[in-house]
Amino acid sequence: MDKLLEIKNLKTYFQYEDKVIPAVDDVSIFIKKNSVLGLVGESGCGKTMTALSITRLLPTRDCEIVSGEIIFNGSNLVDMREEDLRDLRGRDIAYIFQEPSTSLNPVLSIKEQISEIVWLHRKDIENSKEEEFIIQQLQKVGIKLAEEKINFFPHQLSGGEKQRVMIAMAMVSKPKLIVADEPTTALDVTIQAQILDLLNELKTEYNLSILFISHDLNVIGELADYIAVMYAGQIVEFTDAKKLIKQPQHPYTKGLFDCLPERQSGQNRKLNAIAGEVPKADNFPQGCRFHPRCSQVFEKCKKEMPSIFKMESGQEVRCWLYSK
Amino acid sequence: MLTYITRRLIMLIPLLIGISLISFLVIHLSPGKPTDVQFQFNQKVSLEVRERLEKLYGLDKPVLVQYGEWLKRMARFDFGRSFIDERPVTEKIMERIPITVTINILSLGLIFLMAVPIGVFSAVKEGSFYDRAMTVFVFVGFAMPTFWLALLLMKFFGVTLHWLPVSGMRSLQFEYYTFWGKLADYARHLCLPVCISAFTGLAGLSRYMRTNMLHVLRQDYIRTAKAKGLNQNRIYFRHALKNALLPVITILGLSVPGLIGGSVIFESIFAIPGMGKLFYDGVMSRDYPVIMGVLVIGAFLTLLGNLLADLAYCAADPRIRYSDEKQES
Repeated sequence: MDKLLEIKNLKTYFQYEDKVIPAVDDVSIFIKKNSVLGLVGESGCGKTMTALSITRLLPTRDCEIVSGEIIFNGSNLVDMREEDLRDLRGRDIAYIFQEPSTSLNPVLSIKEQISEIVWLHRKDIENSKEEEFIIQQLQKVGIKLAEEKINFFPHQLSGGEKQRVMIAMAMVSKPKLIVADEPTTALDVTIQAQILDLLNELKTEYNLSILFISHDLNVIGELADYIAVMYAGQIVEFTDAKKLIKQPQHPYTKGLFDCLPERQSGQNRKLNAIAGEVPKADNFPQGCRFHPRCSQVFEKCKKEMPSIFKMESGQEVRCWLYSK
Repeated sequence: MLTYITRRLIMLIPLLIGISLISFLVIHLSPGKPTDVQFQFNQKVSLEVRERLEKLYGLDKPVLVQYGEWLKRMARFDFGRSFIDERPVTEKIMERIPITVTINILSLGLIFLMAVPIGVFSAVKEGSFYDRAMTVFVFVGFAMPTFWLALLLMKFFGVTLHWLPVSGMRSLQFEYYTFWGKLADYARHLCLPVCISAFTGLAGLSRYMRTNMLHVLRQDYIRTAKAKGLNQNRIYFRHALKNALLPVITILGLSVPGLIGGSVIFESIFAIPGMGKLFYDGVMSRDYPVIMGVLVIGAFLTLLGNLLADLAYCAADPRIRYSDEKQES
């Protein structure tokens, strides 16, 4: 299987006059065709920044890709011209964002917002067929009464429906890659399950690849073929999903699993939270960034940053425990 | 919707009564009387004549009784007659309104035409040279005293260059001009007042526009628009501008009273016979009916402007609907 997207040594920094904040620091991951890569980590660890870096959707001019490569379909997006990249956005790589209620424009109707992308990326659809096509798209993502709701404004839809609209919008151009940035975090648990099912169906139907970002290991575990665990701007573990769930290697990954209620055996057991706090991006600890919270820390961890070690099982771990 | 409008209109009545009562009291309790103007400098007029006149105007009664009588007349839309020239107040106001409204609509239009682009581009190019230059430009206008700038420009364009007339609304030979000639004559006279008032009023709206636009550009849906692959112009003008323009409707509503009120300083400098001048003269001669007429009409239009702004809001913003069901449920 070949790689659809490969991110190599990506560094995305916020550069202010007085300080530099390494939001994404030396991230290397890849997504194979027709597979789902789950990117998991606590809030603020750089997941979203990694996702936005792919098509340079970074929020401000202070924030930019410092170095690294993003190879998509054979071309490097990092040094691609803005105009060419714009062509790619929404056509080959589509996004679904975390907060559906703020991600849709409040003053444009659903139809207007979707037709925009039809007009841009689906020149094969005639104007007269456009409305019909949009209704079909909405039906495909499970929106009932789509004929009526096409003229609704975002505030008239429920949270789940809004996220379905976002998904419909992303699917219009039949993209190769969908970047779903915490698409279910803002939704109820029941809706969350429906949305995950929908993504799964679409994936099989359209041969999609998905970069699925979440802080929730359960959600990731349901969908992902590969999992990358991110901590403080870095990937600390990157493996096949089954292996990772069965045998997490990095102390941080283990800690994450210990936090899940269903993993606790016996009754009345306390949840094991990982001690300490997530370090702030402007003040990462020296050495391994996880060492102040790590239960297996030793002298070397405090001084030197570990590189990524590849284990015999194929698992990649950024931890001194695995250096030979 | 209709119920909503009716309810809002009915709510205007107590508000108007309150406003008029306070204005009435303030004006009547302030020192000086209408009769002063006629008698203070003329010792020959006896006190008796003066009292007779005050009785005629009803000024000898207690203030609250006077207010009651005024209110009674108001209920029949009778604004009374001016103390000074005995002409009906409505007539005096009606001949002034078109002048003031024309000038103010022209300058408000000019302000919008300039301020919206200035604000939008400042936001789009935040921190650039253009942004900073525009900030300086609009604040110079804001900080500069109107009368001073007006005098300078009158001197320059009127006296030195002889390009534009310095005061009034029309030339002496106005009656002999053709229709187009008359129009051109008006335009020449209005040029300075309109431009100056637009320049000094630019800061508020353009800064407001800039802030709105900056706020909107940081929203998630702008990122969504970008992720769709739309180009910058479409993002700015279709996705951002519409959202950024919505709050401006409030400003428009609030500027309705300004349209009618006119500016005292301005109209005095350019000798424009507008509402501001009428009010000023009214106050100076304690011409109560005129003052009250201008105030009440001003207050009514302010409230009406607010109502119109709210209605315009719900027409423009799909999120806002004043539904009658809301009240019932």
